[in-house]
Amino acid sequence: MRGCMRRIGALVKLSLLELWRRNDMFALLVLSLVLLVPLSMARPFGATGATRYFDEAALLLMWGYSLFISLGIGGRLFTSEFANRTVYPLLAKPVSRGELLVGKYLGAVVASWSALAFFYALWAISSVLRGGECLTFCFFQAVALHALFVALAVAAALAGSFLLTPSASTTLLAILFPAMFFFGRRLPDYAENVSGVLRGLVNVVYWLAPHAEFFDMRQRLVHGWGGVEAGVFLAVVGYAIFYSGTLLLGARLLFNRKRL
Amino acid sequence: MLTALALCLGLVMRIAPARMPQALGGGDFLSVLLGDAKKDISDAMVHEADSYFHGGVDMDCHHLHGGHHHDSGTCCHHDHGHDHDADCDDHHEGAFDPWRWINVHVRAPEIDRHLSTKQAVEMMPWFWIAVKADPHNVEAWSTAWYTASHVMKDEALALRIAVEGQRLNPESLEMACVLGRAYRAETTRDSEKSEEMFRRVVEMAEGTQDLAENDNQAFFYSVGCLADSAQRRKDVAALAKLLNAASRINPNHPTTRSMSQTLKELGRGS
Repeated sequence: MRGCMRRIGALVKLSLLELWRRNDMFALLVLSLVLLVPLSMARPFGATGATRYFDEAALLLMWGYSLFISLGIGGRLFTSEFANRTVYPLLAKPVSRGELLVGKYLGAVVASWSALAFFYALWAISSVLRGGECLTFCFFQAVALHALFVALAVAAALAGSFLLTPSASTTLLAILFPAMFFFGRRLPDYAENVSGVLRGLVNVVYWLAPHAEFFDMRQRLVHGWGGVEAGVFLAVVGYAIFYSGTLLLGARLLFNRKRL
Repeated sequence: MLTALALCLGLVMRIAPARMPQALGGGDFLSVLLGDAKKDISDAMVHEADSYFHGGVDMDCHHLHGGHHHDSGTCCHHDHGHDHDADCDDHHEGAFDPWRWINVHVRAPEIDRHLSTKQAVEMMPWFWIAVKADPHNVEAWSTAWYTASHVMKDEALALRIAVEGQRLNPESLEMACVLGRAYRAETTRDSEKSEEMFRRVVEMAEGTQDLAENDNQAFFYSVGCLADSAQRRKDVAALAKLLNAASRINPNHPTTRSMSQTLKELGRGS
């Protein structure tokens, strides 16, 4: 057991190093500065004192970045190993396929979480500098739900990379997640306005596609509504664990069937 | 890449607009980039400002009435000038939908609060984006003016908005009326300019066949203000002229009837 944990730990460390060695994070940071610094200086109609629009824009960017990083890391986990044939030495005893999958998944999740923590820390600092109150119960709930979303996105990208080509999988998920994030809660209304096969299709998407919007607490954070009820929070946590678990199980089955 | 491309295009258009025959006449960079979508973007920004006014709750809208959940694309329970959909209560009845339950609770529809006078400035960036996206979105200009004037109680800001909105929409009755109203405010009072704007509204309305609802309101508000002024001056001729204009638009409007009554009284008095 201890050996298994050590091997998984080593894989996690590798993923973490890989993310921070790449230039993605710094490119995103520069892009954030380019977008947010002029935005923070905006004086609409000469009025001063508005801050919520800035928070909303910053949080939306963080959601976009976290999705970009999660899908990128999750999609790359095995494709590069297969392409470079480095999966063979990795699978040499004593690392099993299951351990490799779990280790790489956990590594990707921890790496994505580290990026998320970095962005939330920057947001918290900017909020404090603007005289805001940020380390609230709602803030920690928002970060926790966002982290769960990241775990789900990595699992989806990982499973997708076994099912489709890496670019097809990433493109599909890059469309699906934002679509669900913005329109997921309105799908029943769309279904009511269409008929036949299309209605059935919209309903299938509504029930089966990953509901990214469940994890979105931006409005609560920006407008200071306070946290969600414990029951709701646990329901979302359960949804994320169940969904990610199912995707990982699917990925495990596909990986096991894969001829190496 | 796209951002860089957009910036380059913007730069080229600024440096050499005449060398770009494909550019729309009188159109700015956003017009070229977004086309007709800018109107939709502008409306979406006004909607966002409205959501901010309601404490961030999307007024398109999520409800929670004593444990009974609603989540409809059409209905609203607030009465701040929004339409109330009578079918709202019957919407989405049926089997329990766990996804809807989570969504409704995460988005906190039970919160029923509005921005205070001090906080209302939070709406301004959205109005600003709305009018930048579509400078001819009169609703955005007039709502921004209303927010500055009546919610924020910042009459100087309201006047700046009204002046700019009217400058960019000189054909709009509503904007002329808004500017007239802005000049009637306590700290920015300028009766001469105010009346000039109201007179412009009446002149524009006289040349229009069917007035839209907002223009109709703007017209009768302007006529009412001008009539008050004429009554104070006991200017029977001006009042008769206004009554004539108002009668042509709507002879049964309360303002028309009130002016008719006033004119009769003034006639008797003289």
